[in-house]
Amino acid sequence: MSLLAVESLCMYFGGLKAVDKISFSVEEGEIFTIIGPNGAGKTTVFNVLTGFLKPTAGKAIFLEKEIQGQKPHQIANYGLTRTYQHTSVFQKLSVLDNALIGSHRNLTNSALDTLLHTRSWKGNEASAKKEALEVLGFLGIADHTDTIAANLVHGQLRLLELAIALCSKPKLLLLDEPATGMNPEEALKLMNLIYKIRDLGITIMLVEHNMSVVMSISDRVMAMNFGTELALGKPKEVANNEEVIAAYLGGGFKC
Amino acid sequence: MNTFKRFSPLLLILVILLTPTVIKDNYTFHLLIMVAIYVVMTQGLNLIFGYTGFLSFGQQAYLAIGAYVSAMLALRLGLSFWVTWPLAILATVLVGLFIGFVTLRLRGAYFVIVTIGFAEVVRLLPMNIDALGGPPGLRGLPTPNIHIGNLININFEGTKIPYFYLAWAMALFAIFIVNRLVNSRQGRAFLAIRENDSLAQAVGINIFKYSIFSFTVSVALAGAAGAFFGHYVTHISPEISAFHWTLSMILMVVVGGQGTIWGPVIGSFIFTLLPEWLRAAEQLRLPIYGVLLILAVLFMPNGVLPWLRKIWHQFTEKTRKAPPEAGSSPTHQASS
Repeated sequence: MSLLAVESLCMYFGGLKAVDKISFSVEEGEIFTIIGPNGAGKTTVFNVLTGFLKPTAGKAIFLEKEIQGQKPHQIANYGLTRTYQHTSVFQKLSVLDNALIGSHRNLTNSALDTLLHTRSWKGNEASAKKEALEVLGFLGIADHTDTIAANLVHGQLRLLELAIALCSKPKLLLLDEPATGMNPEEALKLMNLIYKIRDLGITIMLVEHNMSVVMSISDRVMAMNFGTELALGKPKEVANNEEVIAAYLGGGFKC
Repeated sequence: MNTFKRFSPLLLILVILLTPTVIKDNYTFHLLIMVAIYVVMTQGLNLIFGYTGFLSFGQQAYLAIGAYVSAMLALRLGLSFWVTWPLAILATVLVGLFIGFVTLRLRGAYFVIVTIGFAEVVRLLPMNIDALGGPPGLRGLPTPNIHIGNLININFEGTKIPYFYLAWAMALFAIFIVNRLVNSRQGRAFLAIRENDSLAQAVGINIFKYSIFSFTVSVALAGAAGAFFGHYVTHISPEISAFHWTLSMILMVVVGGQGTIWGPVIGSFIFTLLPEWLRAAEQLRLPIYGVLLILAVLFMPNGVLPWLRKIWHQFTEKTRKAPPEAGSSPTHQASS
């Protein structure tokens, strides 16, 4: 059984077929990447999978549960977390608080526990803080624990975004163009980080433009154009697929 | 600093307990009671507005619901304040849950407009229903006297000191609740909704549920303050659902420091005591409020609390630097 199985998923906006009959599956422990030109529908797939859009038709099965059409917070609580294309953090809060918000779904203390400072509250707060600090250390931003997020530089913000997502302990992590705005050196560091996250037992799904990143880290790649699936397979196979080359370089291109 | 933080609540309680030894006149007590009532209301508004990011423009409605429910139960059924108070809070919570359920799917201006609309309905009801007293309102609300056998007899008539203690007990309780809530997973969920609601959902926060939770606590505090106010002045009229209550609350929260625990407390002191100094210029009060709000938003968008903190830090740093200087030239220190 695949971790995530998508069956002929469709997302239409009126006459526009943003995603049209897409099917694929993501196996546990792999790095699965969606590529495609701008407007191919990659982010729309993410938005449907995470519940921010209700699909027109089709199914998405995560951990043997149908998740299509469910609310974003419900899907996140099954263990499917995403990051955003445009850096998205809690700007006015400290780095630690950002990470602690990520752990929200793993804490169990009720409001009454909070008011009475019961043992459950104490245990939850202490373990959340410990785990958040571990995650921040893992990502190398533990020195900035008390910094307000808005004061971080771009690279640190992208790491903080990852920290928030990791603190929620996802089983499947959806990364939307994590290498955007990074120079080759930073992109290399990011690749290593993605490997390390995979080694924590988290399956990763990527949307990415940076081909050197995609080709070297992905186990499997799916290419999309105009909402449809062009090719799916090993990175090499997809890169050499004629339709994919045509989509990127324009039709009729021949080597 | 840490020991200071640990003992500051005790210090505060001590200050409140000892106040009657210093202050003797009823008028000052009245002002301090009003400050406490505003502290309760602004802690509530701050929770939904400062921490969760929903500007509720209709808090006066819940003030009125608390006051009227408590007054009606006391006058019609002859119940004691100690029974009607919790029932009034419960009634406010139920109304708040309903209104929250309907409105909290809306954001920004839409939410603001619906809260104003509902508050207007609440204002018109007692004006037009004779059973609720009509425009003159309800008179003769019982005072919260306590008689337990012959042991405890606390009479609230003719003296303000019991009211003063009760009001500040309520205010401290409100501060306590909000403080505990915001320093927890619940409070962090509120902040997450304020800062970035789509990211909050993406990490599994049910933003609708937590918005309703925040709003319900917020209106419960307004209801508690309203009911208390009614039994304090022993006379309520539709004036209690007038917009100026919420306007004052917003001023207190914004100028004091939204999203902080002590900001609204400072704001409550400023805007309860300021009108007393502006008494000579009664007609200019609202224009002065307006100008202050604009100035605060422009120059102190986080309120006076961060500014006071900065001064405090500079002060403590100076005193911390002082000892080595004193050690290097003790004679100079002594002579000066």
